[in-house]
Amino acid sequence: MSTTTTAELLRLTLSEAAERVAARAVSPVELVDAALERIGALDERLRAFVAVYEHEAREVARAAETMAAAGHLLGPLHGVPIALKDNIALRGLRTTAASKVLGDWIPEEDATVAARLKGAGAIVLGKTNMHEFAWGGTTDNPHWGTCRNPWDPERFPAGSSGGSGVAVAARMCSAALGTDTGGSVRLPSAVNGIVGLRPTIGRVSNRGVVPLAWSMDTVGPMARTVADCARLFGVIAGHDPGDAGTAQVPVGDYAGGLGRGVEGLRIGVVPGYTFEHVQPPVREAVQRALGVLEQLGARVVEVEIPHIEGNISAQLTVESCEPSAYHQHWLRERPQDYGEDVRQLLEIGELIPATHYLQAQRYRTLLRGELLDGLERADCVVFPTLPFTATGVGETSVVIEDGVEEDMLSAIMQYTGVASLAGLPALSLPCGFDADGMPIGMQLVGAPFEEARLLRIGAAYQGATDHHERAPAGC
Amino acid sequence: MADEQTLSAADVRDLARAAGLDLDDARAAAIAPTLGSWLTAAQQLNRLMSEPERRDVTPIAIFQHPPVAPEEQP
Repeated sequence: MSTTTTAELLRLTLSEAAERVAARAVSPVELVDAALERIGALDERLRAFVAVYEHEAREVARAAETMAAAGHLLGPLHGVPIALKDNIALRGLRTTAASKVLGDWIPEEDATVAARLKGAGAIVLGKTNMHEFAWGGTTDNPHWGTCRNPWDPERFPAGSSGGSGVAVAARMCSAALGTDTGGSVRLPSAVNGIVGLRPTIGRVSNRGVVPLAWSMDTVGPMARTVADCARLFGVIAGHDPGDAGTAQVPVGDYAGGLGRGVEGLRIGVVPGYTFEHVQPPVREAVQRALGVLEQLGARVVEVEIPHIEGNISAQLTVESCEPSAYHQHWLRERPQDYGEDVRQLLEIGELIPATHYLQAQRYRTLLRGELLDGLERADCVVFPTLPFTATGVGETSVVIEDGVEEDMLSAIMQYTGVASLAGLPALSLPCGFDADGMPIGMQLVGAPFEEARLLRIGAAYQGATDHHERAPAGC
Repeated sequence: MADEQTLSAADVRDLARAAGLDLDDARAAAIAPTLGSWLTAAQQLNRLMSEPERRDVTPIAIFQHPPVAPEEQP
């Protein structure tokens, strides 16, 4: 149809691809073929996907092409290939949460987010690999293979939505959905050099999504640019009568406000936390990013969050107990069907006293209140997304400073757990690279339902920088 | 309770038995260090949340309000 080469097709952002499909300059069939070719070339090594719907995707692409030719566009994602994390139900297609326990589950209905994407014209290419049941941050999956970082396949892609992060970074799809409990959208977004949004809790439906921890779970978009995330988010956000946890708050025009700039906005940093206990290249990259925002007219202000230090313990407590309740039956009936790391975490969660869980839930009230106070004095609060760059595949500990080895799970959630516990929106976006060329992410945390402001700040930053335009070698 | 929560495999097995979870010695030993470390950190949080000035802080909870059909509304 067009004269666009496969390489050029794969370089298109989600927004560019959708606009070209709408203008009939590119065919959905070409986009899907290019993505499938890339998956075929790289995925044996990277293991980003647990299922690829080659036949179905091509069939839908042909239909989308016909509809576009007739001037009938389903919505803002018409004809663009996307991927879903494997804990998001698709009607009639196996949905396993990358586990053996759910290895034979074929949902009878689409998850609400999947239905909304299809309704907006997106073509589902496949399901992405993840940390088993989303309980972990490495995507080192014993059932579906070890997912690898496209910037260096010897490094981890983080998780739990590691496959979605890798698929987007390696241009295997235009965008993807992940889920975020303690950081599972933002962490793989950061280490794979892409953009990921954790929405306000209740902004996006969880109906049809395999839970990890009910009180913190949310679906979130992952893409290469802030504008792409905004486009995807606008489709999946909103109240769902099928999920009573969703809020009846109007959905904003997330893409419409991206060009408003940051003049006069206040960017908060937390003294004693934002830049503490973090690898130097990460600290320096986030500091440089703040400098860019200042040059664009924003003002950096200090925001005190007096009890932020307790967040990691609270996070581990809540994120241990809730999954162990959900998995209680299977842990007794089929313990051997879990990977060893997840089985251990589920066993630990069984043994934490209810009083500890409730103190952690009380701490969340305290932390949320302090953050909301802080967000009266700042338009967002900035943290690194995680305090280190991608570690080696298979590692269970990490060195952040002074040569001290730390447990990976505790260390990885140092910054992402804050927004998770408080139920606040948080946007991770690329802000640099370390000396080995591994991506670094920074995180903007905002007030409830203020995703548009975070996206606006992120778009201004991406308009002044080019970190998001770099691609892994061979991609 | 002491600051550092050191748990033996036997301690873990006893806790698991009370929870109705069957753990053998090897599994109990495998999770003991992590469980002990997390419980230690949780004790610190417990003390913070038990201070008098936070006596009135209530837990975050999920309150769900399913839509009510018009014919069912009061």
